[in-house]
Amino acid sequence: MNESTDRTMPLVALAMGSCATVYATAFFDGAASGLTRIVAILVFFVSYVLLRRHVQTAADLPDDRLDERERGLRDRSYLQSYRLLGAAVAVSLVLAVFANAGAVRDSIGDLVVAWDSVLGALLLLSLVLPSAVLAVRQQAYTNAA
Amino acid sequence: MSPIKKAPDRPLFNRLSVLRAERGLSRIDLAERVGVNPQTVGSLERGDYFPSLDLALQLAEVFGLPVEALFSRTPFTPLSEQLYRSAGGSHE
Repeated sequence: MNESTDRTMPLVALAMGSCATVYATAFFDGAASGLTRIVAILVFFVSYVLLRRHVQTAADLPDDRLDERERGLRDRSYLQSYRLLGAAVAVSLVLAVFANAGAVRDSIGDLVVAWDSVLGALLLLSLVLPSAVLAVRQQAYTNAA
Repeated sequence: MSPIKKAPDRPLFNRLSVLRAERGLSRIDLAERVGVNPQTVGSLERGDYFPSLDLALQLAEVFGLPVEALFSRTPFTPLSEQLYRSAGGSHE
């Protein structure tokens, strides 16, 4: 399992920042928003590929090629990423209910949300979260050494 | 983010590093003998990772000792102190 390098946290931050940017573009309209989204998606894929390479061994090896600590680390990471994704989906659902609520329209006017951006950000998040959490947990072990 | 969840009221102390040094084994040697990553041996020695019963028994087998000689809920007495006591106590 490759557990070294100082690039982990910057890569995780970059990937998560890209997801957040795509999510944020759901609330802004215009050409700048579209361009920002494209740039964020490009940055996301670059950081995702690098992050994936970083955790490739632990993420891809079959169970019998990892020891019990590594298997446990991977299992806990995937469980945690599943929970985090669930939380992000829940927040988006609350947003959907909030945006369509009559009381909100009455008080602040129509809340225009580009749902394709929200869904896109959630898809990107689902792609990167397992690798990101695994990378952060591996880093925690490396730092403890 | 902590790599593992620890129970502060149920610590697990071990003597792995002392025994490993005593037998002249490197972390890599010990890791190969029990079939784990050398980093796992380091995590065990630091108390960052608690082994399964299977791994604990494998480690005990490598050192030829009962498992309770390697792991304990209470801190181990330093070997130097044990030697001093077994050699007849203090020179008072």
